[in-house]
Amino acid sequence: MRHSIRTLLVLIVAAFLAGGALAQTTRRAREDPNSFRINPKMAAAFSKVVTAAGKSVVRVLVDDHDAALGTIVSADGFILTKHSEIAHDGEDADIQVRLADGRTLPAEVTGIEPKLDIAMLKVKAQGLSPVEWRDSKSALVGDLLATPGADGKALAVGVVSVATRKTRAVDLPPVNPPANAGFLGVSLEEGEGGARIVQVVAGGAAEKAGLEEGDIVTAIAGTPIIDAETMVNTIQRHKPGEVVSIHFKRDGKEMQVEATLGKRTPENPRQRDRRDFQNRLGGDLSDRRGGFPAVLQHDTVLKPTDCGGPVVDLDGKVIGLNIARAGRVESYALPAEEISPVIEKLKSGSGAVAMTPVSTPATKASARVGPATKPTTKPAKPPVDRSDPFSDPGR
Amino acid sequence: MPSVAQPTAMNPAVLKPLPDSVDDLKALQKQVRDVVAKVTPAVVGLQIGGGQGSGVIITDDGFVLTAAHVSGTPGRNVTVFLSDGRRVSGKTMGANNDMDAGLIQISESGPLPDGKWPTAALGSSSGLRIGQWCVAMGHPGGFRNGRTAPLRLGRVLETRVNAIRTDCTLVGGDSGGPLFDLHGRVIGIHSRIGGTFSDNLHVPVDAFRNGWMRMVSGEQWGEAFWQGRRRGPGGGPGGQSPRPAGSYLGVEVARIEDAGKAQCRVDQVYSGSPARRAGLQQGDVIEKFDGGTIQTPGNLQAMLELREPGTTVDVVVRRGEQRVTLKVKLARRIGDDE
Repeated sequence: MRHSIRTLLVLIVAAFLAGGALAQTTRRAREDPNSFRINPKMAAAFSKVVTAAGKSVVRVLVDDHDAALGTIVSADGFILTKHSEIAHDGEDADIQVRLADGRTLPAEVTGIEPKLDIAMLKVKAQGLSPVEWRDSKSALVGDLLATPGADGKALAVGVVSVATRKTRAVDLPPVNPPANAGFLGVSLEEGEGGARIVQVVAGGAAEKAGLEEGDIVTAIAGTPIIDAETMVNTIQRHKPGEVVSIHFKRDGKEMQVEATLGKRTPENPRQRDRRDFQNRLGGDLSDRRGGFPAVLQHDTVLKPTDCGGPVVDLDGKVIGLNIARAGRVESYALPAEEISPVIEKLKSGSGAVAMTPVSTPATKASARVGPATKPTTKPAKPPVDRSDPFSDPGR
Repeated sequence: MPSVAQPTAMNPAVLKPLPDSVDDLKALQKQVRDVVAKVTPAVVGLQIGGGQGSGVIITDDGFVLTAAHVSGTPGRNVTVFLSDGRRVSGKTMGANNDMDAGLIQISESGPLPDGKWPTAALGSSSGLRIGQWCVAMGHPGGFRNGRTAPLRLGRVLETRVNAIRTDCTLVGGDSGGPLFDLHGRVIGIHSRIGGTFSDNLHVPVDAFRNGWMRMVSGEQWGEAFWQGRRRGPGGGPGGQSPRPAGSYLGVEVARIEDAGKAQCRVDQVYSGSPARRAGLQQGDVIEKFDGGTIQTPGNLQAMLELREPGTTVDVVVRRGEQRVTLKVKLARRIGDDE
């Protein structure tokens, strides 16, 4: 078992928390008015940069609240947005789209792609301005980026921090798992046709059930496991003490065991809290902020509800769609080249549902989504525990 | 320590406090791209004991600047993660704890001819202009395979004796990483953060220059101000400490010397903090805290460690010629909540 590793940075007190028991209930200190991030002159310098793409940005409202931004992808009313920000617990979530001209129109979900966490909306409108995509690989580290808001102006600016990269689930920021989630006690990596176990926690549920390093898990409790993220999601939807059936491959042979899920060992809650705390200093993070197949990382400060819109380079070209506020220093954009190939499928709705497994939390919604219905499920908690590879071997 | 590098040629548009046009933005972008190309090979990740931080190679024989709270005591083993993903070993050298300035030496030879290491040039932290552009690199969250050291853009917002403050955002793991000017010269080393995106503090690079020979010789001096936040030896497994939780005042203080005598000066009072409510001001010299004499930031930190949140204490400060007694109601420290 690997040692726990702390990532270092000194916290100089947090004045805004003084006297309050909970971060959510207390006042934040103000940003320095000289910060370029909030300087109107800086935004003004970008006004020409965002003119074209700004026409393709809409505000997405769920039950009359700002939920996300949206990106117009066709003149006849198809709009992409961040799925997890509009997914909803209730059956009668009311999704609307506010256009730049002030019109607010009802929207229907025509398809979702859970791997990318995007949803396609359709409004009854003509003559909209779709975005022009540009391959994100043209953007180098240090390139200036702007995120246009629904008013067509630069909402926030930043630079490319890390050029577009393929990601593995474990490379993404940790999310605190649901408090009472089941725990199998394994470390995972992507395997051929499933999630490969790379480590088995001594004395954990997996070890007791007979799972071994190298096993490739293909299904848990009837849910097909296509990758490590699906496996984590699936395990976390069960409670400690529940018995789940696990199908896996060992040396090419199909096998099956029953495992009684355990409890997550509270080995380093302080450390996890501290890391999460530092990442939330200054502003909130998206619930779903990992598990994307590829991301372009930039340092633009965004609100979670400002994800779903385009991000443009200095030529005004849309190189991606902001998909997550992932940490204090990082926002993620889905590269344009990951999005373009799925747009047509999402318009018709058929493709996205067919290509995803049957019962991750996000997919439950997709199974019920058709042109006439609304997405119905929002995972109650952040769906993924993307443990820091250096600090938490178990899941 | 290498001397201050000459500035490189730069488009004057980059010197404007803020860009006026797309052309200005393009000039800035070009300059930032150039810095990235120049410095990336010198930016490293560090693992020392149970901690991960960052650093920057500044001599071709492998000296690495970092934060003192990353390097810790001299003679520790270090794993250095290079920008190409390779790992080499090193040792911690001396440190100036007062300034959070630490030093590491790589024990192996470098990839360049004659075993030399790629380096970043050095700048100076004196003469920085408020509003000048700068970039931060480092390994937030620790070194990750397949991820280059993320770049952050910002401007110098404030210069203090013990810190440069910028809006280059930092988070855990960045500690020890470099802050560059737009010539690609190191002007600071990442140290600490506060509650906003404009509260990112870097050790001024001149602190390394001033203490260079002492650090190279393995000397460690000053008070580890960050250790006040850790639980002391009384803390048992799982953090079950019999000690009081420690409490929160809401100031940043610096050690200064007046006629050879150490003093604890308030450099910043955080809005909404107990200190602010009690009327503490920037520049106040804290002389007594709850009856105890305060001479250094460490004294103050130690007192705060031992006080329960919610208690009201007398704080005596010298403000100019005056001596003022303030009543401060201490708050609960954050980051200790489970």
